[in-house]
Amino acid sequence: MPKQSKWLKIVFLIFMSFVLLVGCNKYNEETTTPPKENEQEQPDDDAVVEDPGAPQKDVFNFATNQDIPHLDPHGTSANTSFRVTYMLYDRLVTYDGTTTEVVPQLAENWEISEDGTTYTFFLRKDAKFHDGSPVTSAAVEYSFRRAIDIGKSAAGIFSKVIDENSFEIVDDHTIKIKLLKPFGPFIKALGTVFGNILNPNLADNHGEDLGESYLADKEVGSGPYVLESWDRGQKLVLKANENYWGGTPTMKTVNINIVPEPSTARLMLEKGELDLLDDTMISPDVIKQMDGKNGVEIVNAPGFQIDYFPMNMTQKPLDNKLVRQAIAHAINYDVIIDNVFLGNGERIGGIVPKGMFGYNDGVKEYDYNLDKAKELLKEAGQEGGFTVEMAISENNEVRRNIAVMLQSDLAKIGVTVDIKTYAWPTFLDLVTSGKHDFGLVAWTPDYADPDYNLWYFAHSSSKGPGFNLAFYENKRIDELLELARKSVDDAQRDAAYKEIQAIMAEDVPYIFLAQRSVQAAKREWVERHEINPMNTWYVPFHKITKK
Amino acid sequence: MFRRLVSSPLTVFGFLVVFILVITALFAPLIATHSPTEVNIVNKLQPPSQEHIFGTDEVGRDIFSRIVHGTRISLKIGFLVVILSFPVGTILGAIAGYFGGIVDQFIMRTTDIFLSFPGIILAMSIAAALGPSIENVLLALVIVWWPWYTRIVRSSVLAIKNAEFIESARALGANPFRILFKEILPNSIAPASIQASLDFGFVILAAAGLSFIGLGAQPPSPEWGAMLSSSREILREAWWAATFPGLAILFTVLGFNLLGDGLRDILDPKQR
Repeated sequence: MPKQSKWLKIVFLIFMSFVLLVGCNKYNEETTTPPKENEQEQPDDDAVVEDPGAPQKDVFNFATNQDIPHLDPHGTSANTSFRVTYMLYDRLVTYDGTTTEVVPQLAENWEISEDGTTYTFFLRKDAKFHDGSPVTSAAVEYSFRRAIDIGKSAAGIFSKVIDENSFEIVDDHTIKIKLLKPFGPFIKALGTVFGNILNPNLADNHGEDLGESYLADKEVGSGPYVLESWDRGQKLVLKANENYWGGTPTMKTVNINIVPEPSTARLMLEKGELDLLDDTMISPDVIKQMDGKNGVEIVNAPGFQIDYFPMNMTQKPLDNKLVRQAIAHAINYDVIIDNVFLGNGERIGGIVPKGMFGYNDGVKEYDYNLDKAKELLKEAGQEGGFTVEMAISENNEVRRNIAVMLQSDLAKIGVTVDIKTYAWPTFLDLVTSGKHDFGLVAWTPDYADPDYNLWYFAHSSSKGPGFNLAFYENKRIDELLELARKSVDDAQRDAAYKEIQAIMAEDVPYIFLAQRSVQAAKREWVERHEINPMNTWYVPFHKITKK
Repeated sequence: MFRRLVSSPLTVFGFLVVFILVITALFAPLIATHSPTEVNIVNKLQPPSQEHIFGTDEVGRDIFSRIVHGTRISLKIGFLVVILSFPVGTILGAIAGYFGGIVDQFIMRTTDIFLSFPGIILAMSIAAALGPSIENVLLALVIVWWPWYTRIVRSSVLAIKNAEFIESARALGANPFRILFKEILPNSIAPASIQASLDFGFVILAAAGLSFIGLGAQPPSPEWGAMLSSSREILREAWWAATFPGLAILFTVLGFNLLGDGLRDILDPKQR
């Protein structure tokens, strides 16, 4: 009996391995079916054509590995939601192409008063919401008020900025807005997703909770696309708005596919089932392998993304400036840029990226110098070394590799780094509540003004949830930031921002690893796809065409 | 017994694999050719060569050395989980089987609660709640594993608790605990210990699974599941980075299972 069962087992094992092999074969067959047969069939517009070889000219397939939480433009701070709402809604002004300056969208033009507090917008007259009603001044007032009332993500650019009692509807297409005090970057802020204009019908139909539950999975916009369907966690489908004032988009259907596993998305792209991948989902190592093969093209574009890590200054011994400077000297930046980012990035001394107004090119960059680092630690009385925890979010290969590199770099000066991986929500909760030592994050501004970056990173009121993750506080910086916000004089603002960057470089609340360029993987047949260096979440689906 | 062991080639194979694993774990620093955690990113994703016989991973660490050191982690987890959950499960099972009644009800319904969840899901939620670390995975697996032993021991205790030698011990005036631990337990523990020997492999597999999804070993720990996870994106370009840790898991689990099967055939008289 025992002997027999052993033989049975061997036979079973062999059988199982055959099953596996057969499975592989079948998979290959499916993936390499020549598309010829389908072309013979009569074209049928309604039928779903499963044809991997030839692209459907008016259907665009995009993939991301991060789920879309909800679609309320005033309530979400999720980048994946931004990407969708940018297409569903129009704004008074918008970012277009590869520039970081705003261009007119719903507002044909605007006037700013001498003192910088009164804004008059002249709306275009041919814009219509998706239900056919015209976009009027009342809609603008309704949208901005709603942003303030909801008090979530979008409130940041309106509350305590706009004078809520000042809305003046001059006529259907002219509106005057007063600010409480001058706010230099106001126009730029209106170009972000938070400036989206909503149909005021929302208040009549679903007003009980400001329409929050209604808008979670619906839209009331006037943008180039309407929401066709949404299968949560799977696919969100956008349909072209036939009555769009800017012309109907060429891509009649845009599928936003949620593909959690990057290697699956890569396969789908190589087979032609996808046209474009989320630029954050594939690591540079893999991107390098994909370029120029299987009809895939990698687009390189300048970017404003800065990879950095905050050092929580409320934790010992990170409260000591010398310790932080020592850490800054102990990191081999060039090796990380060359080998983890594969050269797609450059050193940066502060949080204001190169190419943006207010960037200080004279800011101190810490060189890789272990002797200097050890000296500083000794001066701080920490020559014995210490242990800190570095929190990272899961499912990010690049960040994990950076964390491992930092761990090995810092070990050389006696600093032990324990890496802890958390799911994104847990991670956010940890770093915003100040229970972390180090975190590892990247940051892209939503509008191209140093106020945006510096206010969130350095103002004492932004500690924690405001994204001052170093819990940094410096009276002089607070003063300068507030001064620059009030000023309408660009030279004065420029000087203030440059001074802030110099102070931060000395205090080292954050370590800035690199300013990274954007790399997006797309099919060669995708044309007119533009990458905005600042706002990579703004994918202009309405402009894209296919060869 | 030795002859029977030798007469079964699969058991010998299992025994050899386990033997090699133990030797590797004991002498890991001597066997490894490089440091398992030393980063050398300029040398990343090198294919297998004389210098790095299993190649290097995405930050340039030697995969062979990492697998060798990973043996320690895997064996430690397998060993500790079984060693910790086995006595708990056995003693509770014996108590439940011997005393019966309300005690039995209480213990067995508790095990039912644990067994009604798929083990790996329960372990996942416990590990996630406790926070990611290899110690918490160990704890989670112990919590998931003990009810199995309770069940097995209880049923074998029930089978012999009215046997004549127990009756005679009772007639001689032995107290219940003496009967339980001196008479019943030694005679009912064999099935559970066979189960335990089989479980080594499954525990190692479960721990690797939890590390794969990021709940277990944290970087730069050379845990096999974590190694597999970190190299899966680059699998098509660097097959070696995921293949060797995968093979390590495969052979370890296979080895322990074959050995466990062999031990069952030898120790369990009913199977003969």
